[in-house]
Amino acid sequence: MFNILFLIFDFSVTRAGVCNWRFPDKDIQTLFPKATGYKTEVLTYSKTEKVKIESLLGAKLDDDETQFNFYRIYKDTSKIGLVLTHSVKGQYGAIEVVVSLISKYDTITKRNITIINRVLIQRDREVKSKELRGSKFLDQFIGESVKSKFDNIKLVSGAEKSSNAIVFSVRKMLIVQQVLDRERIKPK
Amino acid sequence: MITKLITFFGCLPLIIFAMDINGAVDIRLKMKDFQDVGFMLHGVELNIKSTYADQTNDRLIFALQIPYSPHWKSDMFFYHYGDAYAIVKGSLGKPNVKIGRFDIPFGLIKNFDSHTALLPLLFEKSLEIKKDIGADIFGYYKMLTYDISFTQGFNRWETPRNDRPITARIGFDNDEIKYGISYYNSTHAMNGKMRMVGVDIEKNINPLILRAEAMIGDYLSGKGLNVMIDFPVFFGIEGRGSGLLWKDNFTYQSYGLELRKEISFLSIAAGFIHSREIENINNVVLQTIVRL
Repeated sequence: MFNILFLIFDFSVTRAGVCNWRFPDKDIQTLFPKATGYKTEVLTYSKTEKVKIESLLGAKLDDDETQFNFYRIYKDTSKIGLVLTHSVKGQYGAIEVVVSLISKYDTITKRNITIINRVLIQRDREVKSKELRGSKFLDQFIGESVKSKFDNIKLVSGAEKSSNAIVFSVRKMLIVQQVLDRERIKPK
Repeated sequence: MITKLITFFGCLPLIIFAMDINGAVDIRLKMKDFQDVGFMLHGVELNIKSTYADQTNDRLIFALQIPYSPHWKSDMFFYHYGDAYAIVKGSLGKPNVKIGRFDIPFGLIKNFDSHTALLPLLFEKSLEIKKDIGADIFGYYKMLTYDISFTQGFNRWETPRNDRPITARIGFDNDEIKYGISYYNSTHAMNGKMRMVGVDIEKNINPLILRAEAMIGDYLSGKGLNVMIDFPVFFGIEGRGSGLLWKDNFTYQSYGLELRKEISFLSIAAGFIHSREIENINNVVLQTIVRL
């Protein structure tokens, strides 16, 4: 029974700045209906990784962004996805974005690539909240990868600042995943 | 070192996965009736949270808050500090169990983090309890959340009153609205039964957030209402207005306004609270929280 190795995957002592996933048990039903469990991992970055993230992003990480939560999603014992959460400043306060990622086999490069499965907003104060949370806006992210430029995303009219903040947040999570993730998600 | 740890703990089924340590220092300048001015270190906290998982699931979460205050029993410090619990997580969608010292699941206490808030909340006048030692069974079922806790019972001065409260809450939760109904039942050696029913609501009317709760109980025929509204001001300043009314043998009423600005590791706030119970009191509080 007690035969699983005691492994130290990630033991990090860090400061504040983590955006927690508020409703994992509930959101998983929407993001990964077949999921049977999830594991939390807190990842920090080295100086080199920080430089890499900032250079790909074209912006500095926030002062309090000292660590990132990775939630690995399982169906039985298979890893089927990954969820990252991020808090970004919108027009009327913080917007908390939940980005779910899956792995897909790319026939052109013949490699597995990480793409967006779905994006959710778990908390916001925006006047155009309904539109920003709506599928018309958020479904545009599905299938995008770290290489995407997000030029084609149609922003919510009257909430351009917050729409751009969400785009930035999603891009940041894709970049963070690419730089920090030491494990691969198996294709669906 | 890691190899030694693996050898030593090799028999355990769990994997250390994540640990988060952070802290905060809360300093306040308090002015009573625009005369008595007092500067105080309200509290210092060190929070340690670690999550342990098996091969596919988070299984055990430990949360420990090490608090310090030079005045533990005044200013309601003990209401808000000193979490020390373990959560045994069930499989996805199954009940979870929390054991230790935690917030009891009643009304707004369940979803609203009030531990650095300047404005008073209804539980301070009604239940006179927020954190207690015991066990809580909680979880989700579709859009519903449920909680039932069995605790020892501590009075407002943090000494055991051993009235064994049973607290339960059923809530509905979606993106725009949260509401719930709560029940509290305890038997006090001197005061007898204390039963309380409460309803609470949190509604986003963006950019405003409305929070309200009402309670009624058989002990001293207590009843009360608390309404709070969060609103953006300008330059990233957040405002909160609050009104509170509690009636039992005495009538307590208060209203207040809090303005808060978050700047990186700092949270700076100013609050005004007018309260009336036996006499009228006007408090002005300036607060600086340094997050570590």
